[in-house]
Amino acid sequence: MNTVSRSLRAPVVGFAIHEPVHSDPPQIEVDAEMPYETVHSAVLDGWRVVSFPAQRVDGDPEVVGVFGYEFILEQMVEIDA
Amino acid sequence: MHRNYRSQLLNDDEVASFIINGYHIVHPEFQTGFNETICDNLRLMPENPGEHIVEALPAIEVVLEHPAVVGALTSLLGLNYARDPGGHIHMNPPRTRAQPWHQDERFGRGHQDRDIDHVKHLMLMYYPQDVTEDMGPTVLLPGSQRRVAAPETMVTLVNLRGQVFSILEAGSVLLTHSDIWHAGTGNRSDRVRYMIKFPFSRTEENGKPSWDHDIESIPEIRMRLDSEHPSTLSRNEYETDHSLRVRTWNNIAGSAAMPLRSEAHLGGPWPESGGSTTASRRRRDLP
Repeated sequence: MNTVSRSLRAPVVGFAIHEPVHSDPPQIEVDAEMPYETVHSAVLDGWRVVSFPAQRVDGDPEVVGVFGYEFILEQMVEIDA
Repeated sequence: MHRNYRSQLLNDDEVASFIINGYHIVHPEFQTGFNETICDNLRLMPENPGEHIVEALPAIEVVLEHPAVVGALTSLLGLNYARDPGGHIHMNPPRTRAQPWHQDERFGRGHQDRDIDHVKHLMLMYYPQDVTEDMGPTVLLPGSQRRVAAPETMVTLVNLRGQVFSILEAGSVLLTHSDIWHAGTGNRSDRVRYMIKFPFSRTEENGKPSWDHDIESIPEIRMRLDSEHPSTLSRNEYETDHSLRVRTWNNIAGSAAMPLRSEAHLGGPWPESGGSTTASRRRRDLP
């Protein structure tokens, strides 16, 4: 998930879901909706944060940079094989 | 250049929308059957002609010379804009996957060399057939032309808040800032989706607006540049992005430039109990 700041409560501005199976990479979809509004909401729904975004060093104040801060989350779900 | 383009110049509101979002859609009226003829010619091409599009498809000049197209290009790039070498016919066949998000590269320029506060280069994209949502429409991230990001930082991005798709009628012309983030999406239909792309450039700075400007509209335009945000921004980005939007206006407006600093954003209602501790209209209440 990509958020506008390093806060768990920051709005989510991007996401990609990678299923742990052989499959095509996730696609940009016309009807995609953000699965959660914040990382905190995802945690409440059973996701674990496995990687937090690094603190960025101060960059050029004249520049707007990459899109969001990247959190990586995982969720273990039992499925019928 | 078509002599009737002056009646089809953009107005202040349309130019402000382009500055904020990074794209503008033109709907030229072509003769009945024109778009179908272009599609038929594309299907008969034995191979992609590369950048020799006009030589391979002379009828495309009708699009490039249409007064609505000339009017929009003149408005955004100035009176003496030029078509650059290059261009490409995109053919998106059935059952393709989406491209990754990217900014187009320009020969001899690094990823950091972007026009974040100016309109110097545009891409024209002409769609000769209806583009439905399952035909792999082009996706854009409005406002992203002001972002400077290395390509490798985009590779993990997939679905983004605010992304928009070029779901358009046949004959539509999409003009984009050359640095806008975009991608072709996967074609899930059983039809081929064509798009013909041409690059254009500004050749000189404007001494005055090259569009249908009305000085009376400046306060309203300033309000839009101050307050409209096509994507969710961080605190740091908010101030920078706002400044870049006003600077872009000033760089293309010549004598119709406006003060960089706005006096309006510090006003507004007093804070309410239980809310943010600031009365500023800036987004200081974001986490």
